[in-house]
Amino acid sequence: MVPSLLYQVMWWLLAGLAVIGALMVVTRRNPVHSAMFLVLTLFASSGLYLLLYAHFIAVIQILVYAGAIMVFFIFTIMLLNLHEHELRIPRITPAKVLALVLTLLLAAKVVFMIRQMPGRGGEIAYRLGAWYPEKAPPIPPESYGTAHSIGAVLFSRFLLPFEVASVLLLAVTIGAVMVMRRHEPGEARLKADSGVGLSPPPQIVIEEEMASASKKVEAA
Amino acid sequence: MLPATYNLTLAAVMFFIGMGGFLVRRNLLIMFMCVELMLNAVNLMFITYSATLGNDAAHVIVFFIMVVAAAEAAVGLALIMSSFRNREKVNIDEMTLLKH
Repeated sequence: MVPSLLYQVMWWLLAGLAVIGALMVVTRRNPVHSAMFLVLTLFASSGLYLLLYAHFIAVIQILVYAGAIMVFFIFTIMLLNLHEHELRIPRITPAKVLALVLTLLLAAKVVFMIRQMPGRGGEIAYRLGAWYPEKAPPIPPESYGTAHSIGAVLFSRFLLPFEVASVLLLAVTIGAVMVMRRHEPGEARLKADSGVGLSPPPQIVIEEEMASASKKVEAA
Repeated sequence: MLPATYNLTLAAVMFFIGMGGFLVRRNLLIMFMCVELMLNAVNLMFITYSATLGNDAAHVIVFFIMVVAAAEAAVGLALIMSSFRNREKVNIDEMTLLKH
């Protein structure tokens, strides 16, 4: 089943946007710019999901990823209040060069593997196709990828993982609040005196005191 | 639909851009965004196989990956913020408290 010209044009457009956005995320110095390009990449991926007939996932991608998670990122960047010296131009170290070379090698290997995939046995390999659009797989049925069909699987076969995911989200909510909680000065020691909770290791207490002392000096 | 190799290659390219960024960049926030990029590439790969084989059970797995990505972003960003509160740094090269 050869895809229409419009389909191919859309695919190349969205794929290009996704890759350009991804490259920009990695190369921008300012995290806000990176976040904006990440939104672009996520929107382009959502379009690619639509081209693959995954309607439900495409909507969820925009709602959850481009909506909720990116708002998290933007809020964090805003609250961090980064200084200019945090955004200086990075140094090139041998470790970074090595990491880049190894990544490129691994990427070349995986892309080469994908190219070689067809013709290694049977129907599935054929449907995975080659680089010729004539070998493209058939269009899935109408019910494929809708909220109805995914819900039917989600609430039967994957019911337990679904419930576990809800527990995970609850744990994460509590965990994030606990991590972000501001500790009152002296609270840890008060707890240790009353025998409730664990006493902090001594060096951390000293460090806290030093930090608060240095802050006082700075304030003065 | 295009042959799966197109989408698989695109997903691999996106994954390795994310991986390279994660290894090279030292800003915690951008490293985090690179993780999201990698998760997104894996999602695309799942959807591609799902569409190619005509079975949408993989969409459920993508759904779970998104749940875990949201959870990971919430906890990770909370950790970044609380560490920034103590140290005023987001560059991981300067977080050497456990090194010595």
